[in-house]
Amino acid sequence: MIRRLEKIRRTVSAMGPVLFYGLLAAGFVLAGYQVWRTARAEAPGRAITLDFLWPTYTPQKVRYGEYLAQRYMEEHPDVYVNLILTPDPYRKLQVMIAGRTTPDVVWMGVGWQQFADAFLTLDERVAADPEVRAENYFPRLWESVQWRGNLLALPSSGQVGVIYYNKDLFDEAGLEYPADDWTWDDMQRMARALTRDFDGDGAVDQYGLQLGQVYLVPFLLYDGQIADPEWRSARVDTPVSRALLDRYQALIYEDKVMPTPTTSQELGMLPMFEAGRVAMHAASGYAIESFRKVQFDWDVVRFPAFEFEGQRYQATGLWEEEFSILWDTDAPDAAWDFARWCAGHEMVRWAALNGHIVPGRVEVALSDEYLHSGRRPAHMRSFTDSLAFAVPIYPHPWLKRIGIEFEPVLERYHVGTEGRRSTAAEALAELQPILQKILDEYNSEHNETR
Amino acid sequence: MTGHVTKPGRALRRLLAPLAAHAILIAATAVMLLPLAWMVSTSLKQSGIGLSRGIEWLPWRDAWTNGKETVDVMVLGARVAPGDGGEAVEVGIKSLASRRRFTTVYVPEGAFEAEIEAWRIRPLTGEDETAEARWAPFASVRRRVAPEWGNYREALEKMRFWVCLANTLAITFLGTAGTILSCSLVAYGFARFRFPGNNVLFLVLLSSMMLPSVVTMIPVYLLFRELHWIDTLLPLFAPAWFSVNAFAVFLFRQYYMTLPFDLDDAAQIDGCSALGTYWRVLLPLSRPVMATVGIFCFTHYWLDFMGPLIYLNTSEKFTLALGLYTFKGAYTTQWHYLMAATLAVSLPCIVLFFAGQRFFVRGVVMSGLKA
Amino acid sequence: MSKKRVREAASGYLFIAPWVAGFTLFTLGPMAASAILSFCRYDPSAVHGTLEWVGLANYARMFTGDPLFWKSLSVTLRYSLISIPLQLSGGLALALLLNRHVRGIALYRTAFYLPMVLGGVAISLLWLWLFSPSQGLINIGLAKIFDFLGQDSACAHLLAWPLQAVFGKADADSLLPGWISSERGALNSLILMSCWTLGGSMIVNLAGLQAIPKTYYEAAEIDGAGRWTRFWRITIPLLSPTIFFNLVMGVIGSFQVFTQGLIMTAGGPNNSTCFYVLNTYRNAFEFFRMGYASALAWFLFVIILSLTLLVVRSSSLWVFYEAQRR
Repeated sequence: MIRRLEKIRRTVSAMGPVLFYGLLAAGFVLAGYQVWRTARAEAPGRAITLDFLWPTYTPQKVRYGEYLAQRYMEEHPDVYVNLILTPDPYRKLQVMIAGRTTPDVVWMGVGWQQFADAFLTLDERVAADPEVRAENYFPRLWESVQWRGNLLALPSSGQVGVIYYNKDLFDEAGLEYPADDWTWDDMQRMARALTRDFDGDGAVDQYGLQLGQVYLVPFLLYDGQIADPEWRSARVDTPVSRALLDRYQALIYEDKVMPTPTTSQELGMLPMFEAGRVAMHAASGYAIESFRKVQFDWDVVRFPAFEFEGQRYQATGLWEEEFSILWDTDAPDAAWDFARWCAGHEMVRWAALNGHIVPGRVEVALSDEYLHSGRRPAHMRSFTDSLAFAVPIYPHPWLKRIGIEFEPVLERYHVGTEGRRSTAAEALAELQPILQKILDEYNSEHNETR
Repeated sequence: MTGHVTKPGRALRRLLAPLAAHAILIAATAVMLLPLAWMVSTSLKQSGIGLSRGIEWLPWRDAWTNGKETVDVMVLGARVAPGDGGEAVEVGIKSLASRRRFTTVYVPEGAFEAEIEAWRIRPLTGEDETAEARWAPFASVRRRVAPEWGNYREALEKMRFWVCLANTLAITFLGTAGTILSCSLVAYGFARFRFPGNNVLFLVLLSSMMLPSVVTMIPVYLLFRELHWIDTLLPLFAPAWFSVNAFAVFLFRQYYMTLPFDLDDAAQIDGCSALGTYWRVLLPLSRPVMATVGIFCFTHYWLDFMGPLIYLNTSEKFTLALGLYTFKGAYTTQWHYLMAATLAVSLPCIVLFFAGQRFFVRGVVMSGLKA
Repeated sequence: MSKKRVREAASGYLFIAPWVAGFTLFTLGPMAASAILSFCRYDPSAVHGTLEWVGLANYARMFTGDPLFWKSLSVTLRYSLISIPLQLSGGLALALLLNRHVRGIALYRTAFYLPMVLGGVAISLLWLWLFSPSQGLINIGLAKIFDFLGQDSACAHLLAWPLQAVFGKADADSLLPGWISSERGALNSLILMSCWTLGGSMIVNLAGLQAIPKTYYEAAEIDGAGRWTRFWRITIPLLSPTIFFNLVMGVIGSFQVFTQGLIMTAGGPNNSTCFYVLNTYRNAFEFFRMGYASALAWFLFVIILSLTLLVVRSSSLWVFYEAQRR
């Protein structure tokens, strides 16, 4: 074995120089070809070039972007849409902005607010354009693309968190399926009934419920956004949030109906649901494509309401996808037309029916062909219904910083460190001043409104 | 003379020493390679099941068959339970592919040791567990190692491996060659010529390693934008031709310092110019350092993520490091693909090191690393 | 004579010209730009993101207005203080282990160098899994050992105590270490992880070892020097230039470490892995405080430069050269 490897090694060593010069030459040829291609792409023979930033999260996502660019160019012979692909659109845009090579139109998702200062305000254009109307979009979604009263994007998709549930496991446990108006009490009861340890070794084999770290933040939002609409004073610590977070912690560590955050992270949340090891699973519409492949029957239901002191509270996370225009675009009119077309009826419909997005346009989302496409989930309405109470997460230009500074506190509450977990009350009392300090600092650095 | 060893003792030592060395080396290697082994095993598992509870080193797949059909199942666990006529081992399994969810398998105790051919199975319907009448006969669960070699093909297809590979190869070879040529040339200047500021400039060169690249990133980006090099491979390898790699210059300079000046003098008597001396005499002699610098550079360019992320805009120009991100999506990680792709991407580096290992080590030896 | 000198100097300058050009373009220019930026407020994400001269305000902010500055500095210092000696001794030990002529040594060396060439996002994820308190390979293995010893036995506690002292606790009443999820253990876990890539310093040490002439050892053996004496009297002094080199590279490298903190722990828990450069990076690209980030970087530059100079100055005391050059 070793002797054979040694022989191979010797052969490779002997081939070294040949390989080296060959590859060197090939490299130069390829690099030269790429330069030539780029130079040619800069002069596509069309009057207007639009640089369009698009993420490569999945091959499917890439196809969506390519389709948009191609279709638009077919319809508009004077415009060349230059698709800029990147695995990390945020970091890429940071560098492009800092380096002043901004694209014209960008795809953005959650966290677009960090670029709020760099996006063109669209209010006037919307007012002047009879085809673009706020009523076409879900109100919460329309709000989510604004910062301090300025409309900075056109939304195309509104992903919301819903609960996916494994119908087969419900049948087996003899439980009725969750209804639209279910509550946290119902959820807790069902989760208990669905949690099972088959082999009796003390380790849970099938969990009733899995909410996951991402859904921790939406639970802060049941009593409304974590700050006032102007983002001047923090309001994280409310009685509702406290009661809700207490309940959430109990689900993991007292009832043990939910995998601990570490377990979820390691086993993978989607795979656990797909393998039938979790009966109810919180996720957004991104999971649909993946779940459509599994054999068992499943459906979706909106997040349960939380009853507290005689009142019902309800919220879920909102992850918008949107199209924004950079402030220094050379062709603002063309960029506007392209963004409006991307977020328009035809493209949103196409993307929704092909499983790319959860449509953010009302007429597409409520259309028969979307709601009753014959594919799972049967109760597609849960998504659009949830948009009525969905809340964006940290929609603030410094959301990264909020996230970073919240993280250790939430982790101490959620996972615990040094063998100790903080209670909901402790965590919220800690978060409140952290947020207030961040908001104050931001407001003093940006004292003038745009 | 002290330390004299008797003959039989020496023979024994000669026999045992390599054995002991191998034992220690194998143990240490095993620890180093443990994470790697897990990568390999994950890359061969099925999606989802690969991460079942506990640690499974082999890509097991369990199948249940009743003679007519075979269904992939997941074994949930086993326990001793009162069964049909005495103690039996109850195994909970779950179908992965079909709507039949739960099946409980009763295995007579002792059958674990024997060849398990026929496990009796009955559907678990929530009815009385002691109802023995509904045992389905002659079904069995078979456990077999089923590596999903297809993962590699699929992963490479999804990340557009060959396109990425071509670009990565171009960047890597041009970057490495540029570094070797330009750095050795500059090192020659520093090592062989006396000029005012030689030492100071060399210190400046070394100090350029000390500023975090985080802050120089944007100005460099601006420069390439002015040159219209964005979205070409040029920003990724062109700086290498200007000997920006201070580490490589350092290695070459230290090595040249150890070579006697007689070499230069002899070459000059033969009519070589200064450049000729470098090209004909010193550069060929510095092959070991070239190997060292080459392997360090190769790894660097092969794995670089930040540079391609910033400078490349079109997927035809993406490198392997960018392609790997396909599997760590914004929402989920496809472990089996990610591991398969990572292994495939690293393979050339592994082969290169294995082939050039002796040369490589010698390169560092020869460079002396003497200040 | 002097004419020859001038010609020599001219050739010298000519040969280093590529570096001068490259350095000016790709290093000096950007360095100067960041030096100027460090006296400015600059938010590139803003529409009106123009430069605003603020004098020394950024430097003042470091010492007075940014609690994370001191925290991150101490994290980086702690990382360097532990990881540099560990890298030096570990690399040397590995090199001694691999510096022998047994069959298949190339395979072993490749195996140890392997972690250096495996890179990318997968490796970070892999280590996240290894370090996981409840599902990770390490803790599952440890749990098996504790079960074997008996959870309450003195042996188990004796084994668990030092582990938990260094790597934190997984849970209040658990014997398992918490690794990167515990505040106490996170940084140490990252240091442990950096030992996986000892292959780099191993190679350099191995080269140093092979450069030591065999005759020295033979002569020492004839003189009756034992294994230990030979190690301390021959290996260490003759290897001191290599150790010096590794030390310098270690100082430069470890003070700039941040990617693991960015990818694996995001600086947490409770900023226990918020490295100095991670803090710089965040200020630059996540909060768009380019000016402040530049000031932070320059402060680090001064630290690294002075430490390196200190090491270089001290080298005459402990680095042994076989022969003075020229």
